[in-house]
Amino acid sequence: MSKSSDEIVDEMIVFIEKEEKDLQAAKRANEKGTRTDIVNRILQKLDTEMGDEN
Amino acid sequence: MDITSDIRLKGKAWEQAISELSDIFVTRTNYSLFMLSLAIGIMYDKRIPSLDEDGDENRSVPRNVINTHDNGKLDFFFQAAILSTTTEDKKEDERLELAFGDEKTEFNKVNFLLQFANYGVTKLVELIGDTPLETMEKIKNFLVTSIEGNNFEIDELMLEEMEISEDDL
Amino acid sequence: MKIKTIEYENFRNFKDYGKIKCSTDGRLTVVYGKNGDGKTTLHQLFQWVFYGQIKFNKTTTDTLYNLALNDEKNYEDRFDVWGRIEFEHDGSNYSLTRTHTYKKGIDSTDKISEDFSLQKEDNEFNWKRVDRPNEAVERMLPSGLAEYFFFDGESMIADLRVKGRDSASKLRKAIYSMFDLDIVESALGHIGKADLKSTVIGKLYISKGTTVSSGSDISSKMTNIEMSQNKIEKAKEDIAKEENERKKQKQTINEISEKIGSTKSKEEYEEKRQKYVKERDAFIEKTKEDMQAFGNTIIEKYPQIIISKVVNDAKNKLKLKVDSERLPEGVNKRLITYLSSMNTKKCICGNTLGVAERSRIKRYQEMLPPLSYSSTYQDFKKTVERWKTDYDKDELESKIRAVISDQEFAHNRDRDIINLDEEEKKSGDIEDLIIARQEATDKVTELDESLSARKGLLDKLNLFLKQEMKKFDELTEKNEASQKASAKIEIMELVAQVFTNKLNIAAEEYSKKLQGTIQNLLDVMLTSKRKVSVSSDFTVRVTDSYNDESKSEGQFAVVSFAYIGGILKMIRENEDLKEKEFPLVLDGPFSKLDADQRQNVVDMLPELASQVIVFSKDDLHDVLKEDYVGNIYTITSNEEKNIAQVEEGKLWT
Repeated sequence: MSKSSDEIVDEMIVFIEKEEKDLQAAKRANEKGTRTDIVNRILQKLDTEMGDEN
Repeated sequence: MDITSDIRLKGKAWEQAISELSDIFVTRTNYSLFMLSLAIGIMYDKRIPSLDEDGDENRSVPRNVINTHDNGKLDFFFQAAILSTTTEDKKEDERLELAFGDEKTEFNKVNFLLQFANYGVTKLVELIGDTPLETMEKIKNFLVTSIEGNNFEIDELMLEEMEISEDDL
Repeated sequence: MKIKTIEYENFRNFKDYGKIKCSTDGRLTVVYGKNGDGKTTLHQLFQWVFYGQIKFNKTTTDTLYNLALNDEKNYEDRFDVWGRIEFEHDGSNYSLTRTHTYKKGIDSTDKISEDFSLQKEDNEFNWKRVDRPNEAVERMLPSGLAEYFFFDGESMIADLRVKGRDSASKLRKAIYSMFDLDIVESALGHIGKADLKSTVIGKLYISKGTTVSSGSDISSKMTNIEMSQNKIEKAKEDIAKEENERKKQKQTINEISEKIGSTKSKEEYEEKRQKYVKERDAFIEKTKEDMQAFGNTIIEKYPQIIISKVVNDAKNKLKLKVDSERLPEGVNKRLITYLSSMNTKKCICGNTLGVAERSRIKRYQEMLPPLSYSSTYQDFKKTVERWKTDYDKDELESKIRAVISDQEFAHNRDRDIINLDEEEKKSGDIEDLIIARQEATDKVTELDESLSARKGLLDKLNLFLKQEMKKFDELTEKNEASQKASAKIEIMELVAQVFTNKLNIAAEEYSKKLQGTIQNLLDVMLTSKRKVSVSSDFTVRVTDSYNDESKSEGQFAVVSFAYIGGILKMIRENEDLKEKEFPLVLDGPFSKLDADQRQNVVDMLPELASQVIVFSKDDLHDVLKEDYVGNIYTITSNEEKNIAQVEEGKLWT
């Protein structure tokens, strides 16, 4: 079952928005949150969505 | 009055008065302070024969100043003094004679007046303040209360004297 | 939120404990204070307590504690800087306290600890500590909007004069955070581009060559790409640093130029000083003269007045017979001699001179010298009596008053001279300033050259990168990895597009909305027609009917009020924020407004927020409506301007 591009795009949008919001909250509470973490998480999510487990 | 020599102003009080008050009484300072002190001394009706011996300073009222600027005031002051003082045990006739009579007399008028002035300058010196302005204010207040009759010191003295004079006369 | 009180101790020039009670009934709280007395500091105090942030003017120190207090402390002494705000929010009372503790060392005083606590009053009037106070404060008064709740009108004007870039970027940041657009921006940053190696797309791009063995062409291209990306990053950092330095130098040049412009030339200083000295000396002279006038008056009149009194009072002391013997008025020696002569039969009054009359005349004769001094005495008394009339108490008093006023004038002039000398010392030599400015100008030229070189290098690197990327693309076109990666990149680019659209639409919408609100306010406040435009990057421009940009400070001042008004209105209309009440603590540039503008602005203040606290260096009482005026305070300072305090009431006249 592969999703359509639009569906994948929507999923990514929702995911990224949540990640960014959490990152902001963490920043305000002075917790650490590096850029590479979020970038990697986005990449992982993308892999999952596109069905590529590599 | 015939002033034949300068009037010597001896004593610490004179020294202090002249040095501290010369900024306010600039014109003919010694003469001015002498006349003011004299009037004050007569008002209190007290005399001091001589103030303590002082240093080397030569303070005096120059006789030419009196002869040129006094215009008979000293005579008037003498008359007032001799006619009102209780410090001198004289009868009325004598007083009148001294006041209005001939110049020629044994009585040393200048010295008589100087003694009043000696007392007066000690009162004047009490009015010296920390600043000239303060001194001016104190002098003004002193004069006003003396003239308007609120000077309690004098009132007390007058009362005392009234008792004495009642008995004497 | 409504701020109830603010308390402080040892906060910059506010050495001693102080407290300001703010009106919470919708009336205006006014804190009057002159520049330099501590008005800006007190305005900043609010932000310090809430957020721990404070902006320092370049000319002041950045220590928080009072310097005079620090001087009084001994080695190893500890002391606090603290501020407390009590406020009500959503029906509950809160107390927020921020404390910095310092310890005095040998060479310096250092902060050794900090405390920040928020307490909430419960239903039983007990105070309970609130967890995670920073977050709680953030929810009640978002820090992204702090610029606007604690608005500094003066620096807004300064910014508007230089194209308003600072305020634009601040506003953009604030609006983005209000509407969560900063999240979108951040997302775009993370998604990135092919040539940005630490972004999603950047990583996807480079992954096109992952399944390839090292030593191959592809891997060497990858190496080149990464290397140049690193170099580009470094180059960008270096450029940013130098551009910052250049900006600072330019600022310095501006500041120095202003100083040069306002520095009075040495000539002017000398001239003014001479004038002051002359005036002062004239009044010192006059003081002397008036003192002498006092002395002269006394000597001329008072010894005699005193003697007059003595003679008058004497009759109570010595009962002189001569006092009671009185020669009638007009009876003198000549008359008596004439009347006592045997030849005179009639008196001048017509009566016959009989025995009784003659004996009386004889008595009068006896009063004359040389027989008696009675008449002389009477003359004497008359003369002396006249002296009394010279007494005039007011004359003496007025002479004393003259001396007092002379002294005061001389003293004031003396102070003026001292102030002038101090100013002169501070302003420094123009020559030094010119040299300093030249140095800064030279540095700017140097930096320009260096920047030009660096930018040239950056261009080369970018070109090289592009080149390598193109070759890399060609080499990896047929790879499986490449195909997969390209598909993913496509998705991410679509995502990025959605985000970008969101941003653009929002920026357009909010900037236009703000423009409308500001224009409405401006139309009310300004007396002349001005058009305001807010671009989608939130730059504010004001133009007149000829489309010329405004230059006048007065107009910028009005614009700054309209600006804050517009922003606050937008905040109130925001979905998430509209239920909340925010205070406005405003440092207002009222002095730059003309009378009408001032009235219009002040009339509009109640609409800006439910609680308005105004800091002003200008008297507003002539334009404030009586029923709007709440608590008033005035900041006063010592002469050195290092110790200030706040007192109740309007202390200016």
